[in-house]
Amino acid sequence: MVLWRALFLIGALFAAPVAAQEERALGNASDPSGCMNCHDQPAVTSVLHTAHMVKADARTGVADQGCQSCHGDSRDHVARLRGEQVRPPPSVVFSGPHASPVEKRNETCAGCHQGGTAMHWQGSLHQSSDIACTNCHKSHIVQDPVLVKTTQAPICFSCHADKRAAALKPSHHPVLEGRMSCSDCHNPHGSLTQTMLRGTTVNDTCLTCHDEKRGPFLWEHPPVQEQCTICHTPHGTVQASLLKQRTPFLCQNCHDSSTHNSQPFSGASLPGGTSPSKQMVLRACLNCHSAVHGSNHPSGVRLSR
Amino acid sequence: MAFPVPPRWLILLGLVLPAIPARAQDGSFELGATPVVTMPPPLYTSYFETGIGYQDINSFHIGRYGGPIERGPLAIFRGTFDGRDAWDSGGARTWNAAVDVFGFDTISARVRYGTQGRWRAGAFYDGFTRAYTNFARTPFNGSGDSVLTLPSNWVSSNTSAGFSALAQNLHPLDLKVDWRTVGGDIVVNPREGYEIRMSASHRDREGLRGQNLAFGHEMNTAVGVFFAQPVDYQTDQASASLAFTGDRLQWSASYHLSIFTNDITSVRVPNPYNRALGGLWPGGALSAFPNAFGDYGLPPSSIAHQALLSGAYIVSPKLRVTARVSYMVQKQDEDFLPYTAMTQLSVPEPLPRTSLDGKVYKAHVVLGVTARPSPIVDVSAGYTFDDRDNRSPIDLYSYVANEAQDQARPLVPGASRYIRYNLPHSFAFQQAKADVGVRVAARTRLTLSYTGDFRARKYQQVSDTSEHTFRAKLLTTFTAGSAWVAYAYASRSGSVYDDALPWDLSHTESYLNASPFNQSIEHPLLRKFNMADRKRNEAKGGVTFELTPALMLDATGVYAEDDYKNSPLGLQRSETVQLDGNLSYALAKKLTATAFYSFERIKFDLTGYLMGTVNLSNPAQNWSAANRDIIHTAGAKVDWDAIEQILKVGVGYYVSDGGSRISAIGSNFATIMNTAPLPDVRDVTHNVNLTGDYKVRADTTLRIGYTFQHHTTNDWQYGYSAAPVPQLLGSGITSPRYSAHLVWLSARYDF
Repeated sequence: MVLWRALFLIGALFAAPVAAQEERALGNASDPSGCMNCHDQPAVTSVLHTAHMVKADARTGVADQGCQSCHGDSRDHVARLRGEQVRPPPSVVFSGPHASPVEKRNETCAGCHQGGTAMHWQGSLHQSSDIACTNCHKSHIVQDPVLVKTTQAPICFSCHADKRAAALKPSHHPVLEGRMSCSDCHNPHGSLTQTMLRGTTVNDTCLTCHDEKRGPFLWEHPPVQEQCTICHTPHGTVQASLLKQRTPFLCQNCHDSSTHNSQPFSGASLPGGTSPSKQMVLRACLNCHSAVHGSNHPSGVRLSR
Repeated sequence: MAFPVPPRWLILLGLVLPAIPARAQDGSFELGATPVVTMPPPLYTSYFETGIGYQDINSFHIGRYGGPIERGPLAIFRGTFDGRDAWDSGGARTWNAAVDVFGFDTISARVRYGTQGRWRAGAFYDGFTRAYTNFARTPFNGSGDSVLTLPSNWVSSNTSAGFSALAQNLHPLDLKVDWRTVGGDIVVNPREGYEIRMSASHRDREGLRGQNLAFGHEMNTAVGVFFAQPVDYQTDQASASLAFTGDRLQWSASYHLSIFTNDITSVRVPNPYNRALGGLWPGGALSAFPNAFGDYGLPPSSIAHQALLSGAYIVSPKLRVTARVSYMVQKQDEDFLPYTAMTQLSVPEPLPRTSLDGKVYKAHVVLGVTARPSPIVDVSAGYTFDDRDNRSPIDLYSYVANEAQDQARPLVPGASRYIRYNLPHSFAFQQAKADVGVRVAARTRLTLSYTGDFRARKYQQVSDTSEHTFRAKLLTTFTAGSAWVAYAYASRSGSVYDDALPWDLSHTESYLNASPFNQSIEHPLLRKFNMADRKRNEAKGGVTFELTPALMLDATGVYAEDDYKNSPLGLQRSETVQLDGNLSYALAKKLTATAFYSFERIKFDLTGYLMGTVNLSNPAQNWSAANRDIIHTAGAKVDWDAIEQILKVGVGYYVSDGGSRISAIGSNFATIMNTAPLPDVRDVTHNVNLTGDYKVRADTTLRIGYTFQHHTTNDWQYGYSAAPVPQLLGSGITSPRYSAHLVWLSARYDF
């Protein structure tokens, strides 16, 4: 009888820590301060000042699950270590050497962030290129840099290096200057328009700011109405006004008039040359055909007024 | 059977068990064993910074996108006031205010307040100056008004070289436009999953832009002038939307309104030339200086309405469908200007209508489906329909080409080329695409895609084009990084190229019958490249590689080629080569460094034909030219925690070196182009940035910064007098060259 009692007591002594540990691992799920016993760096604790950690907003999940609302159950991570056991990472890790697979990370974010600007994430260019949400976003920081106009572009340029080079060309949209951001034209979360543009078409995107070219005009220049990128490269060009090619050569790709503009231009056409031409200096063809985007003047059939 | 543990043992157990966690705490760590008593250290979420800077030169170029453009001091004021209810307080209020002032030409401010998950409201102001050039010159008085005048001592001439009073009457123009936008939005979440959003904004654009107006015909007659166009545009936009996000269904319905208003309809520019019209036009003798002028029509006011419905539905965990439907109406109905404002020129033909009554209807539908039939395969397919239906009325217009161009008036229908129909262009676009992605290995994915683009155009040389594009992409990730390669091939063809169609449709039948030679304004073998047959090849690749835990390499390369070999004349070929490399180094956050280099070469090959004679197939009149742009971009940045938590130093440098060369290739005119080659265009900018942050206290930082920029542009289109060629009164604009220094000092307080 005494032996039975002793065995029972011994078993209870060993079982108690496990039971207590189970209770400790899950009992504080709604309180991030438990995690912050270890994770007390400002880079982590700053999450308490972000939109992701608002108990009063039931959408965030923090009221019930605390940090586990994003990082998963993480049972093994919070369990007591035995002997020389290395502490396993949480169930979902968003960065660093133990980062979870992209799909798992994105699935966590998509658990809440569906609809709105992320409505067309599935099948988008970024999603199909295995881009993780955390490649661009920092959820522990009060001010996520990618959401700020002046700090967004460098994040995009970390992958789109060609666009950084374009933004440094003589003619460019004022992205690096902080006057606009990549997301003013593009929806990085996915869009049903080519190259993830925000507008329904290329032109609708451009006309958001450049609406003086919307018209309709009495006399139209067809490539303008078809697509702005027939003549322009929006990210940056060596030529002025984001043009792909310099005038008059850009115009000569499509116009070889029987009245003029069909000759090959050279240095002889410059001031001081043997045949100086108004079709070379300053705005070249636009010295006369200045209403190149369309004219509403009854006499503007040649886009000259 | 008696219970093996007597009650007093249970009592003992009850006394012992609670002590065991405490005992286990001793000597080994238990997560969550003891509640945290102290909260994490305070976090600064807000700051304000104030200071002063100084720039040592006037330059529209250095500040062309909202930076400082004038020499002198500039104010610096920045701040963010950001806060929310404590996370566990039971409240969800958030507030944010931000302001950024860097010189008073560039100001932005924003405020936002709300309760997270319930509602929020915000307002913003954003202002900056788009500066074009301060090197422009003009003899015209009244720049910025709708009527310009010439000085009282103006001396006219048949050519710009004869404007003997030009130099003394030139005065500088600041060509710049101020952009000022103010707006706000309200977002309400009335119930779970629903969101109502309303926004509105008003934008003013005010200033001067360079513009040109032609008075006469070419062939060595007086032609055109440069003048300053007033910009006084307003854009009002408003949007309202209702959206729902559920577990399986998401949708959004919205309405967008955009109103463009231009308070100035035209600019009246006096004709400085003294060439009068001949006898063909009654009143022609009065078509020259000092009686003559022309009206330049400015962009008309317009309005656009758009209704948009977008949605996605998760049919099953492996199947998702998406759709978007949009209908847009664009209208423009501004009163027409007269054919010519010069009443002394007899223009008996009346306008066919007082305004265009322009209407464009745009219908847009996108349907898509994505599926994952197996864990390693995903497929998607989509269809897009986009239709621009221009229903603006078509009428016959008896236009005036230019006020100093001989035209027999009154116009004789059937004999005069100056009677034209307007052509309201319409387009229809359809696209079908399909993608298949396969995980060929655990971390490797192969994607195969097909896209079919089908375009229909009204009133253009090619009524239908179709382009088929095939793409393949292989992406793999490995322990130290990732790599990808992609290739695309596209082939475009179209219906018969009817070069005469726009000409024929815009002229009367009687005229076409009377002038059979003028069936096309362009050479019949010219092919406009956006409609021409084309073969496209594109190869791309990239690698991201962790050389060491602290050193990361990114590199990408692109080769793209468009071949228009079915085009006898016009764009023949374009080619792009781009290489980008980026190196990033981080040493325990005390030292981070990045360096990048980019090379790009863009080439366009063009073939033309010297017109002017009836012969359209004389090989001696063929010519070709190659346009080549080469751009080198490089930069480096180092940020160093010189004294941890106290002193940070940053150094950055970049260079952008872009050039453009145009040369003859194997043409009959190569001799001319080679003996008188065009100079290269070159645009080089070197920029150095130095910054230092010294933390006086945990919440106070002194900041200092210095920027040096050296810029040169060599461009053969600029740098001449205001009378560069006989037929043009120009702007005198020269290319910018400068070295600029900008220093600033500020203090920042965090709270």
